[in-house]
Amino acid sequence: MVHGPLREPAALSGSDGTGRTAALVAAAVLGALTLVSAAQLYTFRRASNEGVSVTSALLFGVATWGVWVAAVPVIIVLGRRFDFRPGRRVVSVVVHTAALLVIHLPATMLVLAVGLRLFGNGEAPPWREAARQALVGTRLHFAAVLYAALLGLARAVETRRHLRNEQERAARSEALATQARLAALAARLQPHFLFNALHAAGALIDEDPARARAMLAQLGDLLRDALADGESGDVPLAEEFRLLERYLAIEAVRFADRLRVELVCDDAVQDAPVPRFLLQPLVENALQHGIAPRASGGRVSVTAHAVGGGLGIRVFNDGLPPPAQLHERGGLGMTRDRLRTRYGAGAHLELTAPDGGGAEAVLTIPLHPADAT
Amino acid sequence: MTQLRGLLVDDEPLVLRDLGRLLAKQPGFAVVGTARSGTEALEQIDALAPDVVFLDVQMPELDGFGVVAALDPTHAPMVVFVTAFDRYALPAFDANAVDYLLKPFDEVRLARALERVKRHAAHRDPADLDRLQRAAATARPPGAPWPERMAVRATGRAVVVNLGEVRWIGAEGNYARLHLAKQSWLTRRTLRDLEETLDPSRFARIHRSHIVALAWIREVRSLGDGDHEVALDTGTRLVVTRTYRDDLEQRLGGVA
Repeated sequence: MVHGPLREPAALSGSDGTGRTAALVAAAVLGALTLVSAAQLYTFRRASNEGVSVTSALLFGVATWGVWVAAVPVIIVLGRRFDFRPGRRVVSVVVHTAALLVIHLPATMLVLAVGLRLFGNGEAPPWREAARQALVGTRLHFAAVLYAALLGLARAVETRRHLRNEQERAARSEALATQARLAALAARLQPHFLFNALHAAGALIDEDPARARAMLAQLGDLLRDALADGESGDVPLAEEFRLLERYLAIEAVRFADRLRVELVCDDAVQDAPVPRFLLQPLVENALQHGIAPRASGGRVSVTAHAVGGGLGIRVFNDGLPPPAQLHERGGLGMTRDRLRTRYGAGAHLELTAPDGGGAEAVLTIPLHPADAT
Repeated sequence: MTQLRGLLVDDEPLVLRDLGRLLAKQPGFAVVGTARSGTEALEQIDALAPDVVFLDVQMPELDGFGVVAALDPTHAPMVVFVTAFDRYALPAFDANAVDYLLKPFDEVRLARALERVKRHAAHRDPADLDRLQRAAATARPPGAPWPERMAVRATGRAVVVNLGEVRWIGAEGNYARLHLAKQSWLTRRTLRDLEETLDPSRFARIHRSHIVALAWIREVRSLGDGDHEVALDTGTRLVVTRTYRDDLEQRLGGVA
C-alpha cells in the first residue's frame, strides 16, 4: 500500500502532463456535483421540515461523489491503455465495464451507509437490497453515463494537449531548420567577410557611387548563392567559377593593391557538375591565411583541368605557408566533410606547402559523379 | 577648445580614405596621419604623438592588439578600435578601450565615438591603459593565425621583432626578454602571457623562467639527475626542468 499512492501520480503525469490536467478537470466537475448534491439535500429536507445541518449535507454530498473523485486517476490510466482502438475494442469494453462496477458498487454502498448514519434511526444498512438496486435499473444507467462522460472528458483534454504539443514540436523543428540554414551561411561566408564587405561598400559611396552599387550587387548575388540549399544541388563548374569571380571582386576592393587574382577553368571541364559553394571556402582560406597576414599581399590562382578521368582543381597562393593547426578545422575540414558525403572515397583534398613558398590545395573529384565509389 | 589630433590605422586604403573624409567633417578634430599596418602605426605614434588612434584590429604582420601591447605607457594615445568582428569576440575591449566601432558604421556612430574620446581626454586614468595593455597582450583576433611578429618597446621607440628570429625568452621579474642571435629586447609581458600568445608548434616552455624556440634547438642532453639541457644554434644552453621534459620531447617529435 505504500507504493500505490506514490506510483499513481507518476503514471498520471506522463511526459507532457496531460494526465494531470485531465484529472483536475474531472475532479472539478465532480466537486461541483458534490456541492449541487449537498445543496439539493439541504433544501429538500428543509422544505419537508426535517432538520439538517450544513455539515451533514456536505458530508452526504462527499459520500455521494467521493468514490468517483478518487476513481478519476484510475479512469484516466485505464482510458489511455484501453482506448477502443481496432483490435482492442472487446477487451476495452470488458475492462471499462468491470471498472464501472468496481467504482459504482462501493459508491452506492457508501451513500447508503452515510445516509443512514446521518439521517436514519440507527438501523443496520440493508446491504443485499442496496446491491440489487445498484445493479439493476436507473442507478446503473446513471453510473454508466457518468463513467463514459469522465472517460470522454479525460480523452478530450489529453488529445487537445497532445495536439498543442505536436504544434510546438513542429514549430521547434522549423526553428532548428532555420538555425541550420544560418549556420551553413556563416560557414560559407564568414560574418567577418560580410561586415568588412558592407563597410567597404559604404566607404565607396562618396568616392565612386557606381562602383559601390556594383559591389552591393555582387554581394547580393553571393548571398543568394550562399543561402541556396546547396548541399544537394550540383552546379556546372563554370558557375562555381563565376561565384568565385564575384567573391574575389569584393575582396579586391578591400585588399586593393595587395591582391592579384588568376582564375582558369579549362573548356573541357566547364560543364562538370560540382557541389555549389565548394571552392569558395578554399579561396577564403588562401586569402585569410596566405595573403591577409602579409603586408605585401600576394597572388591567388584557381585552376581547373581534367586529370585522368577526374576533375583536378588547384587553389594556390604565393603568400604564407599553411599554418600547422589549419588542417582539420574551418574551411578545409568543412570541404572534406562535404566531399565525403557527396563522393565517399572518390574525392581527395590535399593541402601542401610547395617548395617555392605559399600554399596549395589540390582537389580531385570524379568527373561523372555516378563513378563515385 | 584645443583640437584633438588623430591617427587612422587600417590596412584597407579605401576604408582609410573614407574614415579620413568622415572625420574631417567633425569639429575639434584633426587627422594628423594614417598607417596601413601595425608596424607603421607604431612608427607614426612615436613620430606624431597623436591624442587618439582609430585602430583596425585585424592587420597584416602586427595586428591592433600587438600595437596596443607595445604602446609607451607614458605617451600612449587613447584607443578606439575599429573592427568587423562581433563585439562578443572582443570581450576585453568592451571594458577597457575608450570605444570600439563595429563595421559597418555611419557618421552618427562615429560622432558618438568622438564625443566619448573628448570626455575621456578630460580625465585620463593610467589604470585604464594598463588594463587595456594587459588584455591586448594575450588577445588574438578570432580565426587569425599565430603572430609572426611582436612589437616591443626600446628606449623612445617601438621595435618590431620577427618571432622567427627569437631563440629563447627568459623571465625578468614581471617582464620577459626576447633573445635573438645578437640582440635581446625586454617586453612588458609576462612569460605566462607569452606562452599563451605564441604558436605552440614553434615555442615551448621548458623551465619556470624559459621559453625556447624549437626550430633553433641543435641538441638535447641529459644532465644525469633527470634534468636535461638544450643547446641552441647560438651556443646558448638552457636547462629543461623534469616537469617540462616530456612535453618538449613530444613537441620535438620524439627527437629528444
